[in-house]
Amino acid sequence: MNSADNIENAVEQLHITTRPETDKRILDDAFAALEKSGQRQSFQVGRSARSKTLRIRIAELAAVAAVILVIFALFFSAPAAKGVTLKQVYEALGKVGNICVSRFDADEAEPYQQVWTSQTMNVMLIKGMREGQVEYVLWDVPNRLKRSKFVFSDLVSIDGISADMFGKVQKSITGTFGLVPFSDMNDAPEESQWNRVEDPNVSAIVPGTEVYELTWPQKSTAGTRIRFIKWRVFLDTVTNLPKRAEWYSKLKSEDKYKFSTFTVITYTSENQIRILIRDEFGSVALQPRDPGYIGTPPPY
Amino acid sequence: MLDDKHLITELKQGSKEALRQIYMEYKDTLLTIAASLLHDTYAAEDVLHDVFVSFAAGAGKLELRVSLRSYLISSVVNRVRDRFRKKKHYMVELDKAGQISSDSYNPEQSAVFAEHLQLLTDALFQIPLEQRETIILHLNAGMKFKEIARMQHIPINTVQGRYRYGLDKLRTILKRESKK
Repeated sequence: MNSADNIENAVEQLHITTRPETDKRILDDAFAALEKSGQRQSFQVGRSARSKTLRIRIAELAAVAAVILVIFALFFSAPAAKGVTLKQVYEALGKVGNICVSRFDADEAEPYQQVWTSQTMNVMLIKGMREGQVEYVLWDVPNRLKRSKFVFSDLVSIDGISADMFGKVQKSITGTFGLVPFSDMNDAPEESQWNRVEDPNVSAIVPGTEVYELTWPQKSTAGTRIRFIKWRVFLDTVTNLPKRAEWYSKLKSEDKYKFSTFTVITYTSENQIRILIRDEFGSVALQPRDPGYIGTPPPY
Repeated sequence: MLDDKHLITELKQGSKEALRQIYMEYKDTLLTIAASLLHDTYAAEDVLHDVFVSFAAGAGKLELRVSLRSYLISSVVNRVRDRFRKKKHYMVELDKAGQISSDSYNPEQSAVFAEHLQLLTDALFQIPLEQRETIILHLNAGMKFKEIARMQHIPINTVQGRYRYGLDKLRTILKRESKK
């Protein structure tokens, strides 16, 4: 088997057959999955009633949060020792129309998730892992459709977006892109601290930025343990927009924070997102909210 | 037997018979690809299992834009990659669990062929996954370089390079082994 031809022939002829017990196991499980998937469609109807109850509870919580809101608004409008306030960061993000957020584990060079959000097209494209495969999910709000496909496949699944999910997706698109720890800065705990990091070695990680840290204590679900969270953000010195954010945490008993994940932010254009969607999903009819935006360069 | 398009239509309506026909049609091809890439028939059977269960679970939402064969092969390759990524792969001799054979199997040559087959699968496992993937997909699954490039989102030249380098390495390994 020394010549390439012989190797090619041998590889061509490789053939492995399944065992009968394997066939039975796989078919039994696949049939069960097929049945379950049929039942799930009717199950969706029952879910809407439960989600309504959930929405009422969320509204109650929001009312409580509103009471606390006034106190924190005062806290966060006070500037740090010098430089940018947290409020200014939120304000800068409020002007962004199109963005790409890449999320990484601390020790990884490849992102575990990327999210492209276009407020001008009212869509959100998420690249992440599902069932061990890289998957793109396009939340197409104007058409009220969720399109998903695995990266190495052209097979696209299309689902309608439920009313409950529609609200959440819309909020994600119009909000702060999941970039900041609290979608509303007034939701931050009272003990939160916003400080500038003066160390030039830190800001040198992303040239042209100033670095700030927001730290706050967070109780475990059972309320028995307190964990301290640190959100370090690298802000563009001109626009005040985050270019990178790092997440750290530590227990009360620990001295040092542990670096867990980080986010890299790029301010892309509507056209770049449109091209990416076209490359992955083909010519999807996306309708910008305002036709005037077509071909118009976005602010960032 | 119905063609793939009709089978998918039937499957989307919940037909177990359609699912069974698809499984019977592609199971050996997919198992061979998975086993050749993983060098582990047990793990390859798990991959085949996961691919079909996932395929059945999402059947109601499937829209066929490529051939069913390409879709299933892509699913197998993705899951194999994931196994390597998670480093949960345990090497097992290829022919312990499954029934390994060859289309050109000849009883008179069985002993010689079995040895060659084992040498080949061992050698395949010594070359990088990307090259192994290209060789298996091109030669065993019968995919064109263009199809592989499209599936892997890489230029066709890269696919051809991987194929060529992979074959060279295979040849070197097999020469070395045959001298032992």
